[in-house]
Amino acid sequence: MSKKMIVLKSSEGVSFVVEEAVARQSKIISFLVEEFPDRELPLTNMTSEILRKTIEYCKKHVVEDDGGGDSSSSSSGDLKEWDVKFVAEIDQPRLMDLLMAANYLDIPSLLDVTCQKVADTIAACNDEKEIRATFNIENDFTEEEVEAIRMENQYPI
Amino acid sequence: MEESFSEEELLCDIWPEDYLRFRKRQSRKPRGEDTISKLPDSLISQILSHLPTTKEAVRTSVLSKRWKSLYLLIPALTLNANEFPNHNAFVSFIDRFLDFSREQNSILHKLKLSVQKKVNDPPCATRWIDSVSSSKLNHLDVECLVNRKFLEMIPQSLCVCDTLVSLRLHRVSLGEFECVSLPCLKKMVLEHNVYANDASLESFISSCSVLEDLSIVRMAPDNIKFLRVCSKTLASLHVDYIFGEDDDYDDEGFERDGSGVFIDAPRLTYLKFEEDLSDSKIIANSGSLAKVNLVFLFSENDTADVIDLPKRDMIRNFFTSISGVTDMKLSAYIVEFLHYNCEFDPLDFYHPDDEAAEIKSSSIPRCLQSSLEHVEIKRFNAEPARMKVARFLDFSKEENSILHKLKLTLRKNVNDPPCVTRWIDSVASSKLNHLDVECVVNRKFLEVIPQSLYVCDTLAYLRLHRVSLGEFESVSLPCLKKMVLEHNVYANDASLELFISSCSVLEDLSIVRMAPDMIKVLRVCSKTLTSLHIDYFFGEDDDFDDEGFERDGSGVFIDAPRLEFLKFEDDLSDCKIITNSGSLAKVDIVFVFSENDTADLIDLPKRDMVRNFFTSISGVTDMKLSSHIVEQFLHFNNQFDPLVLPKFCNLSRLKLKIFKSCLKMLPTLLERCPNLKTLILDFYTSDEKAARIRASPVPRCLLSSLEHVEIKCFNGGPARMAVARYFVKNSLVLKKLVMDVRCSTAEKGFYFTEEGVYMLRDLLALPRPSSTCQILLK
Repeated sequence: MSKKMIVLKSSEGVSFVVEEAVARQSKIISFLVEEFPDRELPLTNMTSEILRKTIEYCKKHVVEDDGGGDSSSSSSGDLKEWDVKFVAEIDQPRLMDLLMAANYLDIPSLLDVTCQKVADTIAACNDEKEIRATFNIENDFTEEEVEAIRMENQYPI
Repeated sequence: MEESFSEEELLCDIWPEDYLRFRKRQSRKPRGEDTISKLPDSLISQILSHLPTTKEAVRTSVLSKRWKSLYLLIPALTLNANEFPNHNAFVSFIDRFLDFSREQNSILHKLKLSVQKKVNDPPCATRWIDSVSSSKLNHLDVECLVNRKFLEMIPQSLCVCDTLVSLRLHRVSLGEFECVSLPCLKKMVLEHNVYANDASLESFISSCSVLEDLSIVRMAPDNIKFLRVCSKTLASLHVDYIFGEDDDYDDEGFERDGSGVFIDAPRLTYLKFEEDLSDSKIIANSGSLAKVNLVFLFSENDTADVIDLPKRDMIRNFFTSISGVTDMKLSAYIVEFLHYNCEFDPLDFYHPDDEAAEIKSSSIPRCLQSSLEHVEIKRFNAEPARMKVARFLDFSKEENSILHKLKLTLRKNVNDPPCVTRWIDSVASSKLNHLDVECVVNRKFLEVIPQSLYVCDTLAYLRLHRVSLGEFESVSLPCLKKMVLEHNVYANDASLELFISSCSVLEDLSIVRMAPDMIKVLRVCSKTLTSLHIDYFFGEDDDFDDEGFERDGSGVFIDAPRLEFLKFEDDLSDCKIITNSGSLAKVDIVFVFSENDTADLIDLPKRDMVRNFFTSISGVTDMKLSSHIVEQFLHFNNQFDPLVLPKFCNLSRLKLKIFKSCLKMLPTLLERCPNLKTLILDFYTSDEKAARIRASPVPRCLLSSLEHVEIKCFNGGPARMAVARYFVKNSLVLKKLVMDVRCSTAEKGFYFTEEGVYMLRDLLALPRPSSTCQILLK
């Protein structure tokens, strides 16, 4: 039995042919496939690169349902390790794009790992200066304003 | 055996060639853009909720104006009082957070609070719980550490929280409720709380209409005399009950009489019981119960009075109600209880009579023995205490047991008395199907297999590890299909040969020999065998001395006309002969000939033997060769004797692992496989320089049959690139060239190096003589 394939099109117009089961991990695509069967699905807010990464993730996480119950292609421990490596090799701007893609396509597990990766990067910083430097955030506060926020929070920052 | 790949697994997406161009443009993007602040509020707050502590989320409020209030929107709040300088700071922070959350209508899914209060601190937990109960809360975990005389009340609003899925309450007071409606609550943990009375707790639990998992850890006093758990949906239950050791609790006033636990949960499958404080324990409707873990249950009080008949009935009924389980774990306390009690009342204990019952406790009560069918003894080391278990196995013979499966793993010192021989003997005469014995002891002190095992009529699976197989009178194993013999010592060549050939239905045999084992020539003659694995190595432990090892005259002889699969790992013995290999379809050759075999050029009989070995496997369709074979043997040998390797005319799939320096062997090898369809190539990691592949003549299979080539661990290195280029340029019928990059992406980030991108572009730009050739990355 051949598996049903669907076509996803990136913002640059590059088409990706994906197994339906793989793509259906996105709740949005799952919905679109039912609404518009046999149509190319344009994802105009996603670059080829981000779409390819997203598909790579979905392929790894697809749960093969061949009648013999749930059998994921890898054990959960291996998957976790794979996830860590997967987000580790992506640079920061693209990680944000991937996070937005996960949110847009509604893939909760991918949103979870990307959020965790960003959170880990924040947690690894020693102080707010380092966070600003890491993410290129511009400080638009005065010293006094920062002091006022600290007082207000009553939380040892 | 390594995994094999189906055609389907080789399928993968076409690498979009556009991507390469696109990647280059992207990499020139200016640095220094603030990409995180572009994200919408909801995503940033979600990121913040993934931080290990809320403190780190609050820290982001001073980053910039954009970030000032974002932390107040996080959907999951975890706060611990000990992160704050004092109680007031903690209280005002939470108040501010919850107020903001209400104003903004933000969604709080999860709240986890650990409060530490002194007795004079004003109440707060009640207010907070009330404030979040009306939102879309899924998880609530509140722990309020304060003297138990000053517990805070749970507000009415929590009992009608429509969205709550998981609830944990620690040290709070659950009063009387007007109504309870928790339509989504699946998991509840109640610890060290105080309740209004028996009836209110009972109705609270039974009102949770979808509750599946309940844990109640009671601490005396808690206003409960009789705990009643009645639920139609509950699947897992944990009951614990302890004295309040802190809080100046005085257990003098504890009244045991009339106390008890009553469980009525028809769907309950798992029960963990840790309470021996209350008097009476009753389980009704226990038909679904499959697994129990009994830690504490009855105390010495329960057994003190021998003639207290109602109590005796209660205990007996309790065990009867759990007697349908398939899996039981008993603590040492319970076993002790049974030990003393069985003397007074042997009817107390009803053994589980299910097939899969597995005993996890460290000692096995006598009363269990007659129904057990599977025994697995862990960490058995022949200590005196564990030797008691031997009694169990010794008994099973007398008691007509129906043991089907026995797996023993022992670790013995040289001075420990023998036991394995006796045990195997006692089970071999029963209806044993499956025997697996591993007896780790110095190989000079192996235990002997008893005569009775050789005539076990029911045995289907046998594994023997480190035992001695002596001479035997007769062999009759009419059901034995699979046999594994590892590190054993045998009587002599003839007895092992007879043993193997007497197994009349044997299909799968694995022999892992360890020198010395008294065998000179291993002869495997079987009319039924379809799968065979042969391995042979020096015994590295046990003070083994390989000086005495005599290679001359040693060998392996295989005569198995139905043999389909052979894995060969023996290069210690001298001579290897396979006859009647007509059925052989798949081979995996790891070790076969050593450097000794190629040292003497003019040793004609040896040359013939080597040549005959390869000829006898030349009919296979699927072959795997290790790097040792390709390098140490074929690479060096082929120069002297090009005829050593015959033509593999049927071979359609070849899997090779090679050293880079042996690459020039590749065309020679391929020339011998005229009908090869699939080639899978892996490289042995080494730093040596890659050899060039000879460009002509092009092997025949490249012109007519080779359709799939897969290169493993493709990292864009020069050797693999050269191989990839070779196949693109020279194959006329190639359909797919797959480069498996899976292992290298994480290691070297191949995708993102400029060099890798250029190499791939070059590869894609090469002229392809095969019009249907696809180049794929996996």
